[in-house]
Amino acid sequence: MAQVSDYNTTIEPNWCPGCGNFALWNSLKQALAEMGKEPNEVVITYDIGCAGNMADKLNSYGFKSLHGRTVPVATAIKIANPDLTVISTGGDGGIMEEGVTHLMWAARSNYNITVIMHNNQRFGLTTGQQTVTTKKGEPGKTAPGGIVEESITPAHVALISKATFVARGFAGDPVQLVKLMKAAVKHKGFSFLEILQPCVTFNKVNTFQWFQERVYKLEDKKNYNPSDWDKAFDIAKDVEERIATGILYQDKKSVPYSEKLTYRKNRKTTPIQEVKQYSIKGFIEEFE
Amino acid sequence: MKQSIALKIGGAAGQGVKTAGYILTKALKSLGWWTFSYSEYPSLIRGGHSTFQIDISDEKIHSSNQIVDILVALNEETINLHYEEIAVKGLLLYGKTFEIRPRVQKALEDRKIQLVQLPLEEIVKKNKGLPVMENSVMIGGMWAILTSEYKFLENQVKSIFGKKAKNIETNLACTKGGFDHVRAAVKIHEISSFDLDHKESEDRIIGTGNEVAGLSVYASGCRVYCAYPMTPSTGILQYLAQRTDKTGIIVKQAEDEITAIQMTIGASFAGTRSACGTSGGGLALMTESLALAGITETPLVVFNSQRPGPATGVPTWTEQGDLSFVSRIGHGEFPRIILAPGDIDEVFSLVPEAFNLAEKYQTLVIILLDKYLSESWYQTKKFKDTKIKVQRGQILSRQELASQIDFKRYKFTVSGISPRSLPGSKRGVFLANSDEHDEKGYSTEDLLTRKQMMEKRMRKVQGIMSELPEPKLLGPKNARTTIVCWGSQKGPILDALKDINAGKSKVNMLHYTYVYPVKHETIKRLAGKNKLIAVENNYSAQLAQLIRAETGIEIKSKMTKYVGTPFFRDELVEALKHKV
Repeated sequence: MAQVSDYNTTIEPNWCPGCGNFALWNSLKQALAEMGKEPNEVVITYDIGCAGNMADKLNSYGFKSLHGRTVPVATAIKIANPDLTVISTGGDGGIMEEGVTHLMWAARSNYNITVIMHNNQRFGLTTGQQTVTTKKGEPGKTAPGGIVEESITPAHVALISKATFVARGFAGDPVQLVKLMKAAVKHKGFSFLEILQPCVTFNKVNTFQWFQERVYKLEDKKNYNPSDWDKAFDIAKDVEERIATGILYQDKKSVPYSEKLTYRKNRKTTPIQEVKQYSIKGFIEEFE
Repeated sequence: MKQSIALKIGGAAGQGVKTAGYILTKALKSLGWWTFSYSEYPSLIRGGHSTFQIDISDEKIHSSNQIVDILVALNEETINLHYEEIAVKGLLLYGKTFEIRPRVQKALEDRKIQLVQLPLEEIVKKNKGLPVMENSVMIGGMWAILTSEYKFLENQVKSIFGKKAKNIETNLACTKGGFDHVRAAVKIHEISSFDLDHKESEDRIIGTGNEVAGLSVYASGCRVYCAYPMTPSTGILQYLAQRTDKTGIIVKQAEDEITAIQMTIGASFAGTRSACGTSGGGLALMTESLALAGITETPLVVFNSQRPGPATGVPTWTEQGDLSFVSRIGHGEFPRIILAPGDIDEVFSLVPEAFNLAEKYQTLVIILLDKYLSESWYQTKKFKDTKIKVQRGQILSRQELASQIDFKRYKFTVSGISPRSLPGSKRGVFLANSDEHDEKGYSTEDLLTRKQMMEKRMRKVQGIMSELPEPKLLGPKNARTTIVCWGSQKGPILDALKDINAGKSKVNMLHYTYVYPVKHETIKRLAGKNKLIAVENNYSAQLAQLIRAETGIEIKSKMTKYVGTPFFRDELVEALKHKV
């Protein structure tokens, strides 16, 4: 059985002291160990930026892609080898800006992967510019007078893109984070987990305390039914006053992409095992 | 060419020009004649003018002539657009109701062109067919000009129309009606060279570059193909998508080219064989990801079927305009291999090689096609199962990994190639990293490691250089003039050389299929004794530029074409006469 420590590498994390990434990193290792996954059974893809800096601090197969491209590379790793557990990580800059179409299409394709999006409402590594999740009107390094664009709620993008699992966690609550990560990975189909992650250096508004005063857990709420898409959309709206965390939406009947490919239904092998020379008999006749 | 006939069919897009041409091409093959079929069409679904030209010969042929012996007009516009292309004493076949302008009429008479009218409507009515069957009448009429051997056409109409058309009998009656009418009307004795006889022939096939690329992708063991549709590369995507029930290949039409290339890289990293296909604009979108494959040393095979740019350019036409772009593609420096097949035989053999090279050197291989090769119908000897075996390069087995204590995926080696592990394998865990990294794959800003890692990757070029073959010298060996060319223009040049040389040894050709890295030896040897002429389907003679940059040899004489069409056989013969 894998231990949490098996997921450590020799590299020490170098995030700013107090960064939400520490909780995220620890929770992810914890979740994987609790699920009994061995490091060699897991592939994690990374984006660029502070989120991507986790790449060499977590011992599993990893692919650190380009900025914005953590999702598409992950989708193909999964379809090529369905035996692997594939988790795609990145920040709000990579997943909601540079690569937002990838998120939408991966969701509608319902690949059996988990996307974990660190949302610190800032570009961290490039020293604090505003992103699509920064509240309208807030000043940023490249908008000193306050940004004029509307902000977008990530859970909404996931929901309208037909994601079959949409959840929100908070870096200040690692116990819930581990639960959500496990639920997301176990979900059959595309799961999207947004993690509210204070940036202690460049975001003086959305601090740990700010979040702590506002978040509440859906699992504490009686009668919340995550299979109700409209309700999920509604409850995801509030990111300012009372912020819901937990599983916002889950379609338990979800059929993942690979299982929808009827032409591969009777194949017991994976595309990895199928690499060999194929005879053109049965195909060349069409050219005659 | 010893004997050749060119027949051009013209009509509005949507009028069935391509179907008619395809049936005729297939029927000609079964009659035992060699063919090459080339089509021109606009970037439109309906309306707009399109043509389909079949060049027929008693020997293998890979090119079109600009001057045609027979023009078949499915509408009046075709006559007005193409009457000047008909050879002296050639033939024009057209619908009885079409009007020919007096000026055109005179020009046709001056050149002694035989006019053959076909009463399309009457023949359809007589056979109780539908208006759409005018096409069948025309097909019968065209065949009648070429040969008296009706049954070869009948068989093709049956096998091609038989699948979809309900009233195949009526269709056949219309075809026969057209055939009989023209047989009676045409003065065959005046154009006896058209009267093709039946020749016994070995097993042959007809296919486009895209279809053969798809077939070869399958034969090579590629199991994931991702692409975003873009003319003229879409044919590969469609070929594979339409056969997944039989092949089981996962064919993914992605939301954009960046996704397509990222998925191709992801699938390859996971350990299967994958590929993607696009055209120049799509490849431009993929460039950052190509550099990612370079630094993560992920095997990657990409088809780029060229069309005239820049930007959207002229989407449905042809050009060899992307060689400069792909030879330097991607930011930073990393090894890459560029292959440019010259015909479908080379497509069939180079694709499996591309996969082997990509896996052996764990780097990018680009296969350059263009609209001409991708979408023209070549005829060749039936392919046998490829002799090129699947060679996956250095992948560590589970047993080999079991003995690893501290696996280093990016180990510094003499060849620059580091054995890889496939995700899932125990003790093989590593990070593929777009950041510069150490031997484990971990990010580094240690500048000595950066230097060593850069040198490790670039060392692979030496292996590639020594492995790739020299360009092929085709034609008479002791000729004193050598045409230097690459990729798809092999066919037109090869065919033109037969006419230029006419049994003598004046001109030969040096054809590059392994375009990059540029080999030095043969070109240096030839530059010392022969006159070199670069013949390229682009503006700047990009291969000549590349040769100069890499070898220092300057090819001063150049013939370039960048109007959207390939080189035509007669055009080349004429132009080269002045150069030789």
